[in-house]
Amino acid sequence: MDLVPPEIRDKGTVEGGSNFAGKPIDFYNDKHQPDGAMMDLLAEAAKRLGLQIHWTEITYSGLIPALQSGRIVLAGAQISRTPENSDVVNNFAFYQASSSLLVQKGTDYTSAQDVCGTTVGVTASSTLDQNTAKQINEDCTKAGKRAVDIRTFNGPTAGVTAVRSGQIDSYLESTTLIVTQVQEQPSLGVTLKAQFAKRLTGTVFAKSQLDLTKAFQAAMNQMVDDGTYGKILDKWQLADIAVPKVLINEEIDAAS
Amino acid sequence: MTVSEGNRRVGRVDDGAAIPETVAVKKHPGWWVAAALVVACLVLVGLSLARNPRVSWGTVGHYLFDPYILEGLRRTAVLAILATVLAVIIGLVFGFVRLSRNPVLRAVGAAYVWVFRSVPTLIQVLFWGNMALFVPTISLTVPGSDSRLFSVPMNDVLTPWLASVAALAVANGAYFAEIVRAGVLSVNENYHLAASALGLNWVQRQRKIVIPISLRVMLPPGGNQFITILKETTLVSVIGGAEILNHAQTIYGNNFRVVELLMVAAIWFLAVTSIAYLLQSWLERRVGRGQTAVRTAPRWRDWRAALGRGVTDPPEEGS
Repeated sequence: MDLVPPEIRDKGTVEGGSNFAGKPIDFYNDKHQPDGAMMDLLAEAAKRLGLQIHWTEITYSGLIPALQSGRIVLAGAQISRTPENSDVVNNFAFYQASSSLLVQKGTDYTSAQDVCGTTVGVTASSTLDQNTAKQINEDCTKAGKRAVDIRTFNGPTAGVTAVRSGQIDSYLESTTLIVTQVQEQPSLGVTLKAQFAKRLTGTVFAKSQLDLTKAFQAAMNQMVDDGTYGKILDKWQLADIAVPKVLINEEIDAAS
Repeated sequence: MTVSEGNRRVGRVDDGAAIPETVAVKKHPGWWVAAALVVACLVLVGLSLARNPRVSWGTVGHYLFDPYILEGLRRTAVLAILATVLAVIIGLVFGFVRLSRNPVLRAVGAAYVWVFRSVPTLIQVLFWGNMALFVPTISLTVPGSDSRLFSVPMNDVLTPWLASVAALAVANGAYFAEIVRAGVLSVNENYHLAASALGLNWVQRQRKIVIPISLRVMLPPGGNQFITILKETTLVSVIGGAEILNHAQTIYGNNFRVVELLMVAAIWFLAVTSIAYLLQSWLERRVGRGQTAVRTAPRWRDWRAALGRGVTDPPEEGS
């Protein structure tokens, strides 16, 4: 059964948008071309559907508005399913993620209670990380400790810079992103690694594109079965984020 | 009249007696001390920046002439110039609309200036970039029927680049409208009357009399506005409009050299605004020809005079 809608099949291209600030998941390579594990996986799935993805750069907080206005039909940045976004997009989960705290080298927390009374940065529109930060804050208040000062940044890069300059104590982000940052910048460190928000994640499609979402799901499940999926993740040294099955919408809630 | 000793330049007045045109200039030894202190502070700040181990100046130098950065610079310049040209046109129209004797026109002009000067340009950029949220398609229908003459998706028409130009032009047009209005108001009513007496119609009056006279008043704030637009081009990076900051962000998203690449963008902005500033001074002098000298940038002799070398301006015309 061909699930790709006729108007997209005729054009042969799918409009995608990303902020390209999530190395190694989604970023611009040395040649200023979209690159990363997500780009490779989505491109391969699109190829199997006889499609190509045309990427446009959009800020992270602008991705869902762009999906709603029809400028793009597919996002290419890590967006997890949340109660807030499940009504306005189709969620597409094809790897697993967790969040960690990016800190200056030398800082080490033993538990989430150590975060109390410090300043934590999160990405604007990253509802999941914001909810996690709020949860840490509530736990602090319950334990009678000082509250967490949560600050919002436009993107992970701005937040990482704030950690480097000491403006904030830590930045709550996806573990893969943080590990890459730490590898490339010796002044940074990671603490409470993979301790927060373990979830199935991936990206989202426009609400009106349920059939296209299902088409991508079928194509990517085929990639999982024939080993292409694993090869792509190996290329990015991300074998640990692999999942056995690609899930969409309610299936994600059931599996979590 | 007597000639005082020690004055170099001497002029003549009607009665034939020589009078000094330059009076002895008061010495200001304190200025030297203040200048030395300020310069010393600047050198210290510069040195600490240059020696800061967290900023890799080699990286800054490496990316300063990177082709991708230069391409971003070109896009910034094109965007700024195009937006300014459109903003000036909008400003001319609305500047005169605001001065119209028609109360409806005047109200519309006032409303435009009020709205677009009040809403931050960043918000306007976000609106233009996501216009399809309000207006998904542009279509023209025949009144009284369902037949459409044409219909195109907004996103196909309003590309991020076009949205960037439109946002900057419309936002800054409001400021240019005020500059034009101030310029026209600065022209004495008698000039308008004299022009009418010569039998010139409205368009001729504005073109031949009002605008040439008011141009001198409009140029300094106009040039200022151009520099504002140049800097505001960085705002369009939020809707993916390609310009120098966006290109710098693309590079630091990969190599994480955030401070260095922001420095590269800042250096180019310094260079470009400096050129704009020089152009403005030149234009002001050119427009000011044949009129009382208009002071623009401080010139070398002002510095010398300020430091007590006793050189002042030559006599100005009509003085």
